Amino acid sequence: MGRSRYLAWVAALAVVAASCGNAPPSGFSSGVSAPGVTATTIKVGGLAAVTGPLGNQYSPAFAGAKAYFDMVNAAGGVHGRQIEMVAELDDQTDPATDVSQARALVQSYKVFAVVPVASPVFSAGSYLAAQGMPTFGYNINPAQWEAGPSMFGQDGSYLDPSGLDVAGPFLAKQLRISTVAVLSYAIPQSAQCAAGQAASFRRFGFDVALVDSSLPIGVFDVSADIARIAAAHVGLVVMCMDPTGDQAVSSALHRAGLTSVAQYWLDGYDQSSLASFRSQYEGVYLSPSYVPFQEALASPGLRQYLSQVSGAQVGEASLAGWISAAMFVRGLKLAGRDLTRAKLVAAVNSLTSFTADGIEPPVNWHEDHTGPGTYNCSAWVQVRKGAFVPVFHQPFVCIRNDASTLAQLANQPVT
Amino acid sequence: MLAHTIVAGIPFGCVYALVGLGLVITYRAAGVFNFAFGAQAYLSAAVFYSTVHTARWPVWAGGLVAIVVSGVGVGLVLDRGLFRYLRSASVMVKLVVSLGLLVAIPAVVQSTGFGSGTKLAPPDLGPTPAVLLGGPGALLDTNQLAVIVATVVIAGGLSGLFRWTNFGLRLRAVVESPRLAQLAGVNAEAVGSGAWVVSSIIAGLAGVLLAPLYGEVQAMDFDTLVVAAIAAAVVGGLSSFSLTVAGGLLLGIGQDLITAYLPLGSTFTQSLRPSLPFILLVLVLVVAGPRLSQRRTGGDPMAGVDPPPDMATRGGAEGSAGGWRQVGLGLLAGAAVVGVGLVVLPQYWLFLASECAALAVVYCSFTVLTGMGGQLSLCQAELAGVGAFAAGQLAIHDNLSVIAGLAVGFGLALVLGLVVAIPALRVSGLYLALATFAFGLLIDNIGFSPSWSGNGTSGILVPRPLIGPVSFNATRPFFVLTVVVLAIVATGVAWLRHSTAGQYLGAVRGSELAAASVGINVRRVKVVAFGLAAGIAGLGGALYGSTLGAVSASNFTFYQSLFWLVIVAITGVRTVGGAVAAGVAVVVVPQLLSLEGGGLASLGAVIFGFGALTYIRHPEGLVVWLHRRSMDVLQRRRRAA
Repeated sequence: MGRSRYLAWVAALAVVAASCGNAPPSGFSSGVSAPGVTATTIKVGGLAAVTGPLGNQYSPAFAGAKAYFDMVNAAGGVHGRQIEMVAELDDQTDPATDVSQARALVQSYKVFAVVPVASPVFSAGSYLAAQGMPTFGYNINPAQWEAGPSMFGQDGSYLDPSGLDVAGPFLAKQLRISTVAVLSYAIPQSAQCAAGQAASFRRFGFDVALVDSSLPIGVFDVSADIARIAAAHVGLVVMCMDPTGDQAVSSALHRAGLTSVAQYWLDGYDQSSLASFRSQYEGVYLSPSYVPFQEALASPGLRQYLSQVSGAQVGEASLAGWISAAMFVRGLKLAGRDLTRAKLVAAVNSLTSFTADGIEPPVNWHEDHTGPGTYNCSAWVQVRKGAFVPVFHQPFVCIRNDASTLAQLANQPVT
Repeated sequence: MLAHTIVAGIPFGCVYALVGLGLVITYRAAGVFNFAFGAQAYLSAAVFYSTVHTARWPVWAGGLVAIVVSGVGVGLVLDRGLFRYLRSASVMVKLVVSLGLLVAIPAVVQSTGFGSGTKLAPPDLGPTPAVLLGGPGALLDTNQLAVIVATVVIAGGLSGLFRWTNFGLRLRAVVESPRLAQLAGVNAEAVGSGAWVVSSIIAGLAGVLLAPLYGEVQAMDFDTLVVAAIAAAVVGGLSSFSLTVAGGLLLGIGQDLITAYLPLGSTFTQSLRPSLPFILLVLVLVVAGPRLSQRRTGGDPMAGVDPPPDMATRGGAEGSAGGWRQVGLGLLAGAAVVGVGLVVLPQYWLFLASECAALAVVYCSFTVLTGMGGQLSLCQAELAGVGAFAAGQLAIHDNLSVIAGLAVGFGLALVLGLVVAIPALRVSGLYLALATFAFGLLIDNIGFSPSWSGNGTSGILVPRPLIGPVSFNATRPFFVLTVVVLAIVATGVAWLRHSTAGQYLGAVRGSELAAASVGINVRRVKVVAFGLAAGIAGLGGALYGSTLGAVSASNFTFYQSLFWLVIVAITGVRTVGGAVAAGVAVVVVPQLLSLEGGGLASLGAVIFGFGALTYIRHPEGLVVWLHRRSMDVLQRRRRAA
C-alpha cells in the first residue's frame, strides 16, 4: 500500500472522528406511560444475585417483597389492582448479566416497576434511571442508586463508603475510648469504608493508630496488625469487612489475649453468622440501620414482617425486599387510580418520613437521593452471651451529620 | 519485633507452601499444571464439613473420608476418565481441561445442595475452640499447628518418595515419556493413576486443613489461594519441594513484614500486600524463566513415533482453500443473518446480539494470538478492561466520542500487550501462560481500583456514540454498529492470516526453531502477535463497555480471562467463526438457562466443564468440527444420489 493511500485512510478516519460524539442517554419513548398496568393488575419484576459465590445472601429479598405483596393482595390490592411479581431474575453475581437482566425486565417482561433489586454487582442503575423506571431495592451499591429520581434505595439512595460517618465516633465516645484501629479488605468499597471511618474518628479528635486496607479476601494473616494494635493500646477495632473477615480478625485478637479491645463490625447483624461464629462475635458492637429484631415489639412494621416471612428467610436481604415493596405500595396508594410511572415516582418523592411502619429511621426523599441527609440514625446492639442485645438509646440513636464536636455526638430528636 | 514478625508469618507461609506443594506434585508426577487443585480441595472441605458438621461424625472419621476416600476417588476418576488420554497432550489442552474442572467441580458439589442457605463455619481440627499453644499472647493455635506439621511432613514425604523410592523413579520416567517408560517395563497407566491419587490426596488434605482457617467453605476462596500459591510453586521451579516451601514462607513472612514496617494508610502499601504473590511470580519468571522453560521444552523424546495428526484435526483455518471467496461468503451470510435479526428479533434479543458481537471482537484476539500465533495468554479480559475504561473515562471527562475511544482502547491495550510480550521473549509454554496470568492479576489488583481507571467495583459509565446526526443510543442502530465493527475486525484477521505476517505467525506456531532457521525473527513475530491481540481485546472491550453502558472491575477479572480462553478453545480458537460462536455461547446459554424459572442457572458451569472436555477430542473447536461433519454428510448424500 502506497503512502498516499495511507494518508487517504487517515484523512477519512479523521473526518469520521470529527463528526463523532456521544449520545445522551434517552428515555423510554414508546408512548405508553404505564406499561404492565391493567384495570386489575400491576406487573412488577425483581433482580437479585441468586446464584454465584455470595448468592445465598441476596436471594431472600424476593421472599421479603413477595410476602409483602401477598399481604397487600389478600387485603384487596391497591386501588383494586393486584400486584403480580412476574419475574425474579438472577444476575448470577455477574455485572454484565445484571445489565442484560435489567433490560429483560424492561423490554421482555415489560414490568411497570422493578421491585426488588438486591445484588452486590447491581450495574443497571444508569440504564433504569434513563428509562424513568421506578426501581426499589437494597442500597448496597455506591453511585448506582443515585442515578436518578426514579431510583429508591430501601433506606435512601445515597451511599458513599468513604464519606463521614458519625456512628463510630459515637460508639467510641460511649465506651470512653481514645485510640482506634480500622481494618478492611484491599477491595475498593471496603478500603473506601476504612478511609471514611478513619477520617470520621480523626474529625472528633480520636487517635487513629492503625488503618490497614490491605487484607486480601479469603484467608489472611493479621498477626502483624495485632502486634501494632497491642503496642498502640488500641481500645476499639473498627472492621469494614464481611462477617467472614471480621471473625478472622476477632479470632486473632482473642488468640493474642486482647479480649478487652472493643470491636465494631459494620456488617454482620445476622443470626446465622452469629450461630456459626459464636465465640468470635462475643462482645462485638453492631449498628443495624433498622429496628433490631430483638425490639420487634416496638415496631408494628417489623412485627408484621416477622409474621409473614418464614424463619429461614428472616434477615437483612429479605427485610430490604420487604421495605422496598412497602415503599412501592405506599407510592401506588398516593399516586391514585390513574397510574403512570411518572405519577408513582412523584408520589414516592413526596414522602418525607417513610419508615415502613416503624422498621427504619425516617427516609426523606427531598434529601436522601444524593446526600447523606440531615441525620445519621442507627440502632445499636452488642453481642452478649451469644445473643444480640440492644444497647444505648432505643430504637435509634440519631446524630446530626454536621456534628463536629464530641459534645454534639449525642442522640437528637429528629425533626 | 523483627523476629516476632518473622515467626508470626510462618503459619501463613505454610498455607501457601502446602498449596504450592500440591501444584508441584501434580506437575511433577502427572505433568499437569492443575488449576483445579483449589476445586479439588474445596470438594474435600465440603465432604469434611458435611460429615462432621451436618452428619455429626467425629473429626477423625470425617477427615479420613474427606482426605482418603474422596482423594483416592477423585484421583482415579480424573486419571481414568481424563488425564490418561492427555499424557502427551499440549500445554494448552491440559490447561483448558484443568480450567474446565476448576469451574465444573464446585458446580457439581453445589448441585447437591451444599452451601445454599446458611453460613458454613468449618469444624476445627483439634479441640473447639482451637486451643492456644502457650496461653494468651501466643502466636499459634492448634489449627495452625496442624497446617505447619502437615506442610513439613508432606514436603519431606514427597522429597523422599521421589528421591528414594522405586515408585518415585517411575513417576518421573512416566512424566518424561510414557512410551519410553513402558518400553522399560514400567506400567505407565498404573503409575499415572498413582500420581493422580497422590496429588488428589494432598488436595484433600489441603481442603481439610485449610477449611478451619476460613470462616466458611467457599470455592472462590480456595481458587484465590491457589492463584497466590502459584508464586510459591514457581519459586520451586515446579519441581523442588523444599524451594516451594521456601517460596511459601517468603510470601507469608513478606506480607507480614509489609504490614509491620510500611506506612499502612498509603495506596502503595494497600496495593503491595495483596499483589505480593503476583509481583514475586513476575520477578521469578522474568529472571529465572528461560532456565525454567528449557527444562521441559524437549517434550516426549518418543513423540516422533506418533503418526502425524490427520488433516482433519490440523486444518480448520478458514480461507485456507477458499481464500477470500470464503471470507466474502462469510460476510454475506453474516449480513443476511443481521438483516433477518433486525426484522425478527425483539429489542431485548437485539441487545443480547450486540453483546455477542462485542464479545466476539474481544475473542478475535485469541484467534490472532493463540489460533494463529500459538501463544497463550491468560490476561485478555484485563486488556479488554483497559479498552473499556479508557473509552469510558475519555467520554466522561473529555467528551471524546466512544468511536474515537475504540481507537484509544486499541492503542492503549496494544502498548500494554507489548509490555506483556517482554516475558514472552524469555519464556514459553506454561511459564508464558503463568507470566501473562500474573500480569493480569496485577492489573486486576492494582490497575482497576482507582477512580480514574475502573473505579473498582463501583465502575464507570460508557456512553453510546453519535456519528454526525446518527445516534447509536437505541438498540437497533447500536446493533448494526457492533456488527460493522465485528465485520471490520474479522476481515482484518482474515487479511492478517493471508499476509506475510500471518504466514510468519503460523510458522512460529508450528515450530519456533524451524521458523528461526528460515530467517524469521521469532521474537519480533511474538511481540507483534501479543501487541495486535491486545489491541483487538482493547477495542472489543471498549465496544463491550458501550454495549453494557456501565462496567466495573468485576467485568474484567482474572476469572473472566480464564473463562473466556476456555470458551473460545471449545468453540474454536483457530477461526473467526469460533470467536463469534463463543460470543453467542457466553451470552445466550445463561439466558436460555434462566428461562426455566432460574432453576437451571447453575447448570451453566456444568455445561462449561463438559464443554472443556470436548477440547481433548476436538482441538479444532466445535464450530469447525460441526462444519466438517455437515460437509461430510452432504457429500455422502451427494454420492448416494
